[in-house]
Amino acid sequence: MDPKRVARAGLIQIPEGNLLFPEMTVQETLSIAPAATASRSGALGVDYVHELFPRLRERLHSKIRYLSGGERQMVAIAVGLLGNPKLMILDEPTLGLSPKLRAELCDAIMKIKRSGVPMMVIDQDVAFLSALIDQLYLFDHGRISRQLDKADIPPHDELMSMLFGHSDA
Amino acid sequence: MSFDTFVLVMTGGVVLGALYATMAAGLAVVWTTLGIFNFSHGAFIALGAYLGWQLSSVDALGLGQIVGMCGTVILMGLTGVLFQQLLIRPFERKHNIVTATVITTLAGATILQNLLLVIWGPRSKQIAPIGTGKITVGPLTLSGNDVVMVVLMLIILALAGWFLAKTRTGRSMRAVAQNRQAAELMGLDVPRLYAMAFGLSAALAGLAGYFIGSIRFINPTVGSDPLMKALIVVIFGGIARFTSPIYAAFIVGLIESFATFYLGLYWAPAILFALMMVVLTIKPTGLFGRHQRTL
Repeated sequence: MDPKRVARAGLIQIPEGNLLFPEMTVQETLSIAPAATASRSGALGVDYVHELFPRLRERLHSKIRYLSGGERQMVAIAVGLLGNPKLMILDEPTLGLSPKLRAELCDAIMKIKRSGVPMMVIDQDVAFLSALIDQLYLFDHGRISRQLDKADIPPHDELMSMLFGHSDA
Repeated sequence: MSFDTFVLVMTGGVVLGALYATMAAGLAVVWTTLGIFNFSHGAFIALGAYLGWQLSSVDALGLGQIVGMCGTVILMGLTGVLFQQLLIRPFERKHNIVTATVITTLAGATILQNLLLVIWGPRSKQIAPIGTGKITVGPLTLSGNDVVMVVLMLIILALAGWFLAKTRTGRSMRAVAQNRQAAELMGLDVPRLYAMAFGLSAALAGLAGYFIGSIRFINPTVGSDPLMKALIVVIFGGIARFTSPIYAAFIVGLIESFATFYLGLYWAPAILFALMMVVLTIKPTGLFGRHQRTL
């Protein structure tokens, strides 16, 4: 299927380590997001994105290649939100971020969730995920090995042993 | 060298520079967005010159310079889109797109050049000078045609630069050039943007052709030599930004003009190629280049 139609149908994927467009500024990047001008009903506007990521407002005129990994991830998510997603897939959004930025990004993702955008988040940080999600799927070698409801998520140690097996100690 | 000669050589260089800038900018737009080299660019220049002659010359349709110029740019834009659909679109996403399009665009150039010969015949044509008379600025006396040509080309290049920097479509074109995958995930219409980039490139070629047609005799291979120079310009200046081949074009134009005066017509290309080799050895990304393939 034509990738344009996938994205415009509302399936937005934010790939891990998204490099976006190194020589364009944040503002330019936000301005070309397909739904940014074609104001569809219920579409989230640039104002919402600015509110969600106050940090980006300060960096509107910086080129993407001068941004930190976390800021770049914020731009990627912001662009995705402007596309008015029906399902947003975040692939390891917190990969390689500093703890401070990680916290900031987690807050923002929480807010996006509360605004009602359906999301699929792939990550290795279970603590972050368990605060965020309704359903947890455990992956093992490319297969879903377990499906857990939010209420059933076991304590950290037990989860670790489910994921990595029991330690001999 | 007397002052008058100096002015003459200098304006010659600036006119060449403006022409090379227009051509190189067109080449660079396709190179950066589609990632291929368009060998039909020279044939586009020739087609532009013929179309311009057909529209403007009193021996043909005689619609005047303004209609001629605008018509050429529009028709060439459409030709570019057609070429892209026929010669490049089928090979997109194939691993051998670069080699495949070298062959198809070379073939396209050959077919187009022979088509020009069939349609307009072997007799050389010439477009009437665009500006007339002389313009005197202080101690300088310049040919009106040169001044009008350079000013028009600078305006068109500024417009193209503005389009890429400020409009949504232009920005999207830059985005596709910098990261195709991210652009697709965002939902940008990549095939349409590719077609538009090719159209813009061909329109710039057509404009250059129109101006070349007013200072040289038009024949089907009129674009080949300028294309070679435009290629030198693109390598010389790098394509980090839309403006870098433009600066390089004026440097190349002036060097060519002075080399022609001091060393003769046949030595000028040798000097340019030698300089290009030096630049490639010392700074492979071009004089103003930092990163390759951006726009």
